Amino acid sequence: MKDIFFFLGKGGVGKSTLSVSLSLYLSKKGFKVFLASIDPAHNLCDILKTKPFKGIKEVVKNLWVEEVDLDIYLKKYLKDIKDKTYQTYSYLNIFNLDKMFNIIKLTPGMEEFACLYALKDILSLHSDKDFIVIDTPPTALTLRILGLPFVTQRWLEQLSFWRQKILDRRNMVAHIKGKEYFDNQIALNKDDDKVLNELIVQQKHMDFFAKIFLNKESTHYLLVINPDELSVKEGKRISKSLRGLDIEIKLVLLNKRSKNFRFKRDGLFSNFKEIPLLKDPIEKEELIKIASEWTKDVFKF
Amino acid sequence: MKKLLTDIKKGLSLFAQGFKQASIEHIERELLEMENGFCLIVLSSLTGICAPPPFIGLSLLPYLGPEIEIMLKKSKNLDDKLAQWSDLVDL
Repeated sequence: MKDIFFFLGKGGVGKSTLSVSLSLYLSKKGFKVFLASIDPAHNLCDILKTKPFKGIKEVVKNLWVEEVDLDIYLKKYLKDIKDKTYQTYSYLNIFNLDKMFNIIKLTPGMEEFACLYALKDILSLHSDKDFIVIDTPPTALTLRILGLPFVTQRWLEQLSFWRQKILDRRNMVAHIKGKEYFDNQIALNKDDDKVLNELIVQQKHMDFFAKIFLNKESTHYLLVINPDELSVKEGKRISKSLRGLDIEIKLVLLNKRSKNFRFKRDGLFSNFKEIPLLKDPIEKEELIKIASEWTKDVFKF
Repeated sequence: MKKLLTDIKKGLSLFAQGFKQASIEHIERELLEMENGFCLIVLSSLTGICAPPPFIGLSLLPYLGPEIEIMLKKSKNLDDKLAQWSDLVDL
């Protein structure tokens, strides 16, 4: 895999259109491209003028598309937890995560987690592609998705430290009172402790994302804005928030250019390209042409 | 003389055992508190307290049986203590 592109921006600014545009352009150049939408409100099929489909489909030559169904990822994850829980506590027949699905799904943090879970699959399963293009949800959710690995890393670090201390104390007690003092279920060393092992597994997942999100060489963040105050303000908010995570916007795309709008360049938006307003119906050739223009001087494909 | 020495030895070993017991009791109490606290923090998002991302609690849920038991026992005792305290202050 060469590069990953994340299209960010306020809802309705044209993230999906421009992500399709870049994907079509790259695939036309002969690169293998995987385009995924993790926005719960998908519209890639509309832009590509194909019938909606489930799963992955090669829409045009060299371009594979998926509109990720986050519910499927959450259900898969909860089923996994449920199976493991049954294995450990077979007597818990009344414990039913399925019934809790709707509550868990809407619990703050779960949607972001499902997005990460989906991203992990996309990045692992499509590492043979030359480029991966991600169409993201509007600002708030995207910022939470990108920030989640870093927040979680800190929690996991502290919890692992705490767990290690528990194991140390258990060993002290076992040393004096003998190992028989503890139930068979109670782990005394690191390797046997399933809790610590699970924390380490989660830590590895989060390290994987942090590494990808912070890779300045191959991960590119493209911010899409429109010629209106609101989207520019929101764009600045995204840019500022990402800087807090040490993530830099590679390029700002001023979509639907208007002659009446004066765009002020400043430190946050130092590198930007303008894209004209396209009239419906937008043809694929037109989208390819646009991407060939804005990628010029910025990316070497 | 030999008997006296054996008695002293026995007495000393009893002392040592007593010290061991006292020190380990403290560690055990600390261990219980840590296990209880750990479980509370990890599962707090499922119980409504500000907490780490909920999926951490869910991912650890299958393995936290013993800690959940401790947490439940603790909360049961906590209830009793509160009741005792309320009784004491005549609430």
